[in-house]
Amino acid sequence: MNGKYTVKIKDRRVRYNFELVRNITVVQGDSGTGKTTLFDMVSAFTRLKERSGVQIVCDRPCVALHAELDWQTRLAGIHDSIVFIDEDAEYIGTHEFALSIRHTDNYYVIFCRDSLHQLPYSVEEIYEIKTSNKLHTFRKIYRRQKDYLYANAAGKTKPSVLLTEDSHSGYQFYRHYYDGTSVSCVAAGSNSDIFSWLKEHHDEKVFVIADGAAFGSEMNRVMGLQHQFPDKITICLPESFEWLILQSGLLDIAGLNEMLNDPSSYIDSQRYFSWENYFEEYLIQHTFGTYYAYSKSQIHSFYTIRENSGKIIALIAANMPEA
Amino acid sequence: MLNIWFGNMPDVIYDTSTYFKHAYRDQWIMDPLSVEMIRDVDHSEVISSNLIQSPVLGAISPVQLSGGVKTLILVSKIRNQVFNASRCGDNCAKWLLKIAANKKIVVNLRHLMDFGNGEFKIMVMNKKKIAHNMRELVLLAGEYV
Repeated sequence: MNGKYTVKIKDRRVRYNFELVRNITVVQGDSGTGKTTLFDMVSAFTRLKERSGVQIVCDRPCVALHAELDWQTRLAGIHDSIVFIDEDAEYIGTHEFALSIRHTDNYYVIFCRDSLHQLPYSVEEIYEIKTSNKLHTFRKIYRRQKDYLYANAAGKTKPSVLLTEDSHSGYQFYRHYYDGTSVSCVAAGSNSDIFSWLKEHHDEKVFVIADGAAFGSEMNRVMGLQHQFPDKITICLPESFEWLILQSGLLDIAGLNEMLNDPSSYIDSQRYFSWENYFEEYLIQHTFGTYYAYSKSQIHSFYTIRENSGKIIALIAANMPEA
Repeated sequence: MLNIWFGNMPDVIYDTSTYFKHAYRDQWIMDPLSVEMIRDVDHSEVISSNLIQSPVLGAISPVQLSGGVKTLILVSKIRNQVFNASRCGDNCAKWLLKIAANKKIVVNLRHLMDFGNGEFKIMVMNKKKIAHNMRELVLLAGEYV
């Protein structure tokens, strides 16, 4: 399943309007905002359709998956649908659940505050419900600022450490860019190691750059830490490093701009669990056999030439450490 | 004092709504603390033990309260079970502290709840250490969620 879906759900008392952009949407926020009411309405519609008194307008079926022991059997029978799961379902946080939905052709709307480390959901798809009269809509919890910043360290001092998730091509790129400067590049190990690294080094001024497409489960604690050390930690979350390269204008690929303007129309949820997987594959495929062939494990020197690296850095430059 | 086990915890009551549905007593709803919590979190007024007036849903029963309020009521009334307090949004944090002001309360959290900018005392059970503010809580508990 791919594309964006507008969902309109209503009964005599309440209305919900929202748009889904990717395979996984997480809804959190305060208590008493209507999450369970929304799930109950979808649940009633799943059982009784129009005879429930609930109306749903959407290009795909909307179904509720309950906290039942046979959830895997039920899930196996759901295709090309938008699946709503309430926070009563403890299985949401399990490895089995991640495996079960990984290659399905559904989109998922998950009501849950738990940090779901098994699922690669985007920082852009974490919402709370806002209410105006009887209309409920989704609002992003984490607001993206200029240059893909989600939090910008206060003060004039530029960061002295640039922290990446792993030591693959992105880390190699930044290390090369800052080679010979006072900025040290550090790889935390994985996205879930970033919190621990920051916690141990909270007296240093750090610029964190990670893949926003799959950083959703880390946001609660990393932003919580940033909130406590607002003059130390900057959080920059572009979709992924490959996405930055594609966005930089460095590569002349037919149809690239169309794809970047509307990724969800191109990214099949059954094939790509996270958008970062798609961008990586896209970049590898479209540079394969060229003198600038991209590899995740080893950055090609084409991308680290100052003229080229500058174009990539320009996308996130305003608050980067000075090279 | 509020005692919190962060992250996965065996034998916790995770599905607090189902537990509430089958365990709540009428008199719990009329309790002044419950009335206050329902008013503050759900913006609803308790009319009787079986009837609550919601500004959005109209007249509802106690089982239609938000998951957060139902969990708060369970935490305040049942001492021999540990409940999943991640059913509670940040707007429930002050109530957890209030419930635990004069007695030992144990809950489970699978995320970092925002307890605000003030001082408090929360035992992070995983570390057996007390956090006195959000900075200490994030540093002590972040690795478990």
